[in-house]
Amino acid sequence: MLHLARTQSDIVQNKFVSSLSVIARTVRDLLENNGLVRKLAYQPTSYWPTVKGKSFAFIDGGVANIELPSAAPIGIRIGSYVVRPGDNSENREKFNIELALVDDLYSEQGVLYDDDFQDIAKLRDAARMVGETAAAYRLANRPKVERPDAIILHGPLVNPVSPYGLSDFPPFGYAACTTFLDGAEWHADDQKRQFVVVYLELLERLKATGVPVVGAVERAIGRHPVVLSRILDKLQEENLLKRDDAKLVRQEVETYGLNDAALFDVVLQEGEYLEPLPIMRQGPESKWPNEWLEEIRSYPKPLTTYLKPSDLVMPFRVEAFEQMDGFDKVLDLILHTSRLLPSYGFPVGLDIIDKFAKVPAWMSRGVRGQHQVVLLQKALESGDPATVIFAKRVLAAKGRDWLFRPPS
Amino acid sequence: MDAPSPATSSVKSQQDWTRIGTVVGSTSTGSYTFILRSMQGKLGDIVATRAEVPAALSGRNETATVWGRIVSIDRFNPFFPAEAAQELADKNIEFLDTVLSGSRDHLEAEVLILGTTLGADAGAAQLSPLTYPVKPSAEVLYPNAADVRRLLVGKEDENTKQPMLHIGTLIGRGDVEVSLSARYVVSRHLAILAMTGGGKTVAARRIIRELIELGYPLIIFDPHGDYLGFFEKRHLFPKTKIQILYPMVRVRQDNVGIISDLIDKMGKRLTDAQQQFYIYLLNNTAVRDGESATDYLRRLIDHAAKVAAKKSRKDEDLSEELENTRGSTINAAKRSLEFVLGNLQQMETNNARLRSQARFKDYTFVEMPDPADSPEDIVAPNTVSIFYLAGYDHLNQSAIVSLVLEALFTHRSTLSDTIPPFQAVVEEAHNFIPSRQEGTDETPSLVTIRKVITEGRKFGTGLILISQRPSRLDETTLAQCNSFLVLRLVNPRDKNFVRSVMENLSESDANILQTFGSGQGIVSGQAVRFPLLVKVKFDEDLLSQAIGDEDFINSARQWTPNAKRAANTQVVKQNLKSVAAEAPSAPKQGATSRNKRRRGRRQGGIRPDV
Repeated sequence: MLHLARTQSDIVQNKFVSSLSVIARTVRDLLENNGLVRKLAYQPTSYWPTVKGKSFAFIDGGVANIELPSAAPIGIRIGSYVVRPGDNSENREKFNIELALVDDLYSEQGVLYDDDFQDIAKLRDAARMVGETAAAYRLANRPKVERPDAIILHGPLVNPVSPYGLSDFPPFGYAACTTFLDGAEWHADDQKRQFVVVYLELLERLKATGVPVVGAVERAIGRHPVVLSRILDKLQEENLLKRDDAKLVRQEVETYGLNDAALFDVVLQEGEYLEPLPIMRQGPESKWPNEWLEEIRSYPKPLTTYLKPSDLVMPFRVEAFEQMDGFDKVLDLILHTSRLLPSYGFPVGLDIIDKFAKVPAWMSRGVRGQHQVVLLQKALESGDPATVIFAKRVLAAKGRDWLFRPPS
Repeated sequence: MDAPSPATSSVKSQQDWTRIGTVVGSTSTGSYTFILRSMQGKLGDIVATRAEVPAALSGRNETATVWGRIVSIDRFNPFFPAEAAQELADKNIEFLDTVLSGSRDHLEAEVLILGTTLGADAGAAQLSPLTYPVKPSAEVLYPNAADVRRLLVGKEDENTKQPMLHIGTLIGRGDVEVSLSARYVVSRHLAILAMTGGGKTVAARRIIRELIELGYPLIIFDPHGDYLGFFEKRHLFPKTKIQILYPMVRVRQDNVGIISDLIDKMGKRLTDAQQQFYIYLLNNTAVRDGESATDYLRRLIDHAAKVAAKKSRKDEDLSEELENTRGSTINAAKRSLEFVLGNLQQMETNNARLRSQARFKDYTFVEMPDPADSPEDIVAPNTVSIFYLAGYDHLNQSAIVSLVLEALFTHRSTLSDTIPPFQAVVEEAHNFIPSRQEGTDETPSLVTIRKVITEGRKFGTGLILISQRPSRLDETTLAQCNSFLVLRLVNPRDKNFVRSVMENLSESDANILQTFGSGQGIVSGQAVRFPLLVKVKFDEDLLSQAIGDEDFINSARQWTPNAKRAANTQVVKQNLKSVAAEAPSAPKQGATSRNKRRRGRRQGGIRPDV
């Protein structure tokens, strides 16, 4: 392997660089020829006075990291940072925990889920996604004078839902649904309190408020260049690109494992973004759970673009609802807030709310400690030595991590 | 109905203490850190927290009030990234116009624990050391002024009504007065250290005033006249005699060595032969006890002149021990004495000229009494003797301080009961007790002050040393001071030196020395229960009309040259011009510059006085 790395690496790297350059030039030319690249000017001194007095909300969720062999309680909180540029008063900034979702939120009695489910990570993800959207809805649902002029979510605006549409995925509790829907009662059966339904309901309500809401995705995951594919499809649909040419481009991109962020990093220049296109985020229909086909089909296709704030940083994905008014203005805001972190290149408001909402390690440790105490106490109360030994073993158990392998 | 006892009222007042923060992180018995509520406390504030501590004897726990002082406050905003600040600066963007957050400051204050009081009554018991760390999550409280005042005074002093010297208030807390224990100041010595403009003279005046109010005998060595204002404002102290003394170096049989010191330090160092002749002179010129040094020097010179004359006449009357002494040796020793006499006279003249300035027209200067013979004229109850040393160089000032202190200390140490205990104030102390690096062998006062400061405690001779350059002070002497009032200090050497001398000055305290404003400082040592940040009270009524900052700009503007002096210069110039014109024009070719000068003089008809 070392020999190969020494002899072949140079050749492979050279080929990669030259190929990447060719791919980038091709994609760039395609975008330019078809008017799919737009540019925003970074002019902070003239831009910021134009948004004086407006209010912008940034939303993010923090998840407590509590792992126990016997329990996996859920602790999520969604924070909001609403700021009014140019305001000199004490009301310029408002930090708030919009939602705090704790432990068994899944149950009829007011907790989150109604039933037990083995995949705790999925339960947490689902709760966080709904929670973030619910927080945005709360802000957008305020009386007009208090309503933000734009809401920016940390993460996708619309997430893929099919992984959570499993038949045994527990429904949300009644109280949880009421919390998500900003106090509106949700008298529905188990089916209508499922994640797929509640999340869709929230997105539709959020969209209906008319408040510009976007999601900014900090890190791209997945290797598939979804946005490029959509662009190539669009060009084909509009009869502007031959199928074979599109196939060739796709093939080249996939050969080198380039995803959208990596590709557009070399294609876009400072301040440029792609013409936003509606993109279905729910993956291939063949993988959708049969019982939710209709609902998933109804999910919004967010207008999606990649924005590159400066030459120094990678572009990131921005999503908005279709027919949203003033997407360009919000992108301008995102550009200018991103440039306030010149070397990180991501909206500073989201960086702020990320720090605010983050559940600190000491809090997670505290919760874990309490759970351990209760478990041991119950075992001791049982009076059964075997149970006590079992409890101690459970509490002391550590994963069989490779780090713990005995030294040779 | 019975009136509430002080203890009861203190317990009640404790309930009113404001909560200002919460203890976080690791705590110890010496310090803790707490998160401070915005604008609820500041550097130097006395704060309190409650802690459960194991009781010494009963084996049970008891509640203690843990007292501390805020020694540093860190403020940071995790929501305001540094790179955003850079961008704002680079692009000239207003912070407020952006979406950046500036409201989520964290204030982390470090508290130095001063001690604890046990039980519910904060001021009831003696302050004792904390024996068990403060609990993280404990509330930090802001005690009210009355309770802090009780804490500062202490139960013992409060009950026994020990005299206190009020010096000011806590910094930023004008409702809490700070006082020094008078008995520790007068017996255990005090050092006041600050850079120029730091307020040391104001602080010294404050303490002197308090001592005057107590009727305590004071002597002040004042090289610049900073304390002459006390004479001008003597109506403020009707019971006190305030006198300004100008120095007169007097010799006695037992201190005749002072003349040798002056020759050594002022003139050229005598050769062995000259030294031998000088000793002959001393041995054969009897000292009249109490005669002035200048008179004695004159008599020594006369004696030397007579010996020189006898020598040149080859008089048989000449002492045998001078047989081998050459005339040039006698003349050299005589010239050294004349040089010292000239210097001494010059300084006396300078001092007299300063005293006769118009601004001192209402002042009375008295020649200093002989401290050996008439110490009671200098030191007495309700008496302040200010030695005005201006006009004298450091060496002479040092000699005078040495003479006076030595004599007064001798009176005290021999228990002659001629004078009462007294306090001596030494301004510009670095000139009187310099460190070894400054050349201590040239300072007669160093040995005297060392002796007084070491043994003074036993005999009631206290010192207040004042200096603007602590690092130039003799460390051994300064370390004998049991109390310190340190005001603004910026020089790193001075700060390090002060830290090395003051055992209980923490690093954080040392770091804030440079941030003090005028009159702000830290007082520590035996004179206070624990180190305190203090704002020294400024006595406006002591401001002198005659003394103060000179307005040199105005003086220069109004200055006119002396017309007579200018006219005289003109006369000489014009007359000498005609003489010079009559002189031969050019010297012969090849003459050296030395020859030129010599010939020119001789041709003027004046013999050089060799």
